[in-house]
Amino acid sequence: LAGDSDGWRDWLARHGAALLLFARQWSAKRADAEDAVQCGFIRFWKTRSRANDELAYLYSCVRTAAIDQGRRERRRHAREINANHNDSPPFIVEIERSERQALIEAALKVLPADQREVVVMKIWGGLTFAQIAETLGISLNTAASRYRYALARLQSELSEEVAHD
Amino acid sequence: MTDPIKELEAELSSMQPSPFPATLAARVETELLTSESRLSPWPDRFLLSAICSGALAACMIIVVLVGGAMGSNPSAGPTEQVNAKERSSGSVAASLAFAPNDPVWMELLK
Repeated sequence: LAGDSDGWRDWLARHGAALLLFARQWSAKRADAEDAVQCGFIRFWKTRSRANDELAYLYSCVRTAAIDQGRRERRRHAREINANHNDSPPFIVEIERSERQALIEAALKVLPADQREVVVMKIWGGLTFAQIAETLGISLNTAASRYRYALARLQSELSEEVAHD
Repeated sequence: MTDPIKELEAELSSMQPSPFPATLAARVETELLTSESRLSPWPDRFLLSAICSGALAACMIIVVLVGGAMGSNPSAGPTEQVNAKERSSGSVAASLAFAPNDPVWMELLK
């Protein structure tokens, strides 16, 4: 492990924040998302030799762990299903843009889960459509179209909000 | 005129996810180290369990063989049993070999 210690640190430094954001889609609490990232990352690190694309495999491991964690949590807290009640913000809040940022976060939560995860992987994870397709087990075209639909929907939600104001 | 979707993409990209907590990195490190130390004695454990299983299997085979031999004829030893079997199988073979030359047997065949 000594030889690999820098390796896993690099992976976490580069992808940790985005992975946490990714895992929060299935977790009501930040602590649960952290548990999912820990579990998924450990699994990835021990079995990464079998991966075709390591980044896609990392997201796949964290996704599986987060979904499992979410299921366990839902069973435990049957009345606390709403993932919108997060206990800390998923993004760094910039004061001058906080209002707009809050609108975007709200619009992101309105997206269907399959579109939202594609947006998170593409924008904050930096994955290519091919990697997203491999992570989710879907075709490249499906990944790209989900992304396009998601952005169009976000645009529409934000326009409506601006119109309401 | 700029594409609103491109603008939105740029806006989303400018939002920074919350930083990865140091405590979580420490937890990952601890778990990796723990699992590593847990895994290291496996070859020794495997060898030990293989030796124990082999010895146990050998004992069971001996017990089954000795027990089976004793159980079939408690008064006779294993050597006597083998000799008895050889004698009986030998006499049967001999009687079959001479049967065609036996007049009584030939009469029966007619």
